[in-house]
Amino acid sequence: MNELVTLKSPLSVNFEVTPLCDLSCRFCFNEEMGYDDKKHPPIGQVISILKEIVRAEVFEIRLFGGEFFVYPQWREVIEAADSMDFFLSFVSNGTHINKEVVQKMKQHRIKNGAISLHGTKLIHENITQVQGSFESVLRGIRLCLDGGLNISILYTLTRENLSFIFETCKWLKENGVDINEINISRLTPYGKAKSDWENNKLSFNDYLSIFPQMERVREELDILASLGDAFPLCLLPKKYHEFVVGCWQGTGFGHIDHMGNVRSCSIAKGSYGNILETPLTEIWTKKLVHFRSLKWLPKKCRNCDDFCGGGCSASRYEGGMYAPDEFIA
Amino acid sequence: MKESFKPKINCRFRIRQDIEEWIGFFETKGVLTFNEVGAFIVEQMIGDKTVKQIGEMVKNNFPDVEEPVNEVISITKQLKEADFF
Repeated sequence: MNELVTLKSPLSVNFEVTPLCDLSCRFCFNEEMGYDDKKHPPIGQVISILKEIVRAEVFEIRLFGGEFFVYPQWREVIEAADSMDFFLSFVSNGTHINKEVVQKMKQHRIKNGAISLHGTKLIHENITQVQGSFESVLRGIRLCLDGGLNISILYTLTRENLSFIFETCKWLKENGVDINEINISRLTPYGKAKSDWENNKLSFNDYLSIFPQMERVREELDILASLGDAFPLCLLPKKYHEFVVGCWQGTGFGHIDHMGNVRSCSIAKGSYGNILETPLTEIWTKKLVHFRSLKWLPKKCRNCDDFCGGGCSASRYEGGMYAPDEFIA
Repeated sequence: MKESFKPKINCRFRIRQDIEEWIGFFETKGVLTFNEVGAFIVEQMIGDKTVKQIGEMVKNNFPDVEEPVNEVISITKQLKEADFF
């Protein structure tokens, strides 16, 4: 029987420093996280959370949001996290990245990050619902690349951009945005995407259609294109298995929000506990026992020799904190 | 491998003791797991000690290890093959 290993704490966490973001992506999973009155957390609270994360000996923090760089004290956060000797990276919508931001990141040993770009101009701006956001994110990506940072593009699938992965990457190459990695994210039934899920959701065949595109991106553009989330490998032709990065939530990866709530996944709802009240090591070792037992997965997954985690546990409608992949019967 | 070789891991890294083993996080490279002796050896690989010197440290700290220098050489070879130097 498969089961997940228990570590004393995550090796890497997404730390959602602020829930606020200045874009309004149509699929945003962060739009129903139960933050009634969204506002930036006080810097003291952010530092307290960092201290708890360091106490649990987490190695890496990915500065996350909302949008991390709209947090007024983002500089202080980077300084504090670096002084605590974390390995740092970031996840951003890219629109606030300027030379000063790049300089500050380099000064504090940040070497890589991920920036969201969901298509070419019309598609991206229709998704973000902010005019000019395409040029802003391109400027941010270029500045990062010019500054020597490794940037991975995050491309969340929607019905609108599903067929344009190759076109988007080709456009980037032709316009001198020399990225070497793109991670495709699954559309999940949380936040805004959930509100009209029957119309928004992607079919299994939709997902199958992205693999030949990723193959072309790799072969013709020399960009490492991958599905950044988990996917049931038993349903996927073997030749595409290497395109699936998979997921290590609940073992080596965790998510901590701006209030200190711990989740195993950045997308799914709920909280296993709050690190301002309970040590992260205690939450991590005691509250995820059922999740790691995999008893919530079908037997065929628990017995599978080619274990993939049962696909994406945040993909099923009304799946709560975790559930079998939407395509697993 | 010469015992005078000074292994120096070519990226920033940290190692922590976990529940069942030691885990090393190597920037841009990934994660490796070790037993206690292996973790101790890797932590010494910052370029200021020879394989022989690290072997002596292993001998002093872990008297039960039978051939400490060979242990260091073995780990050094594995890391070298994985492009850690």
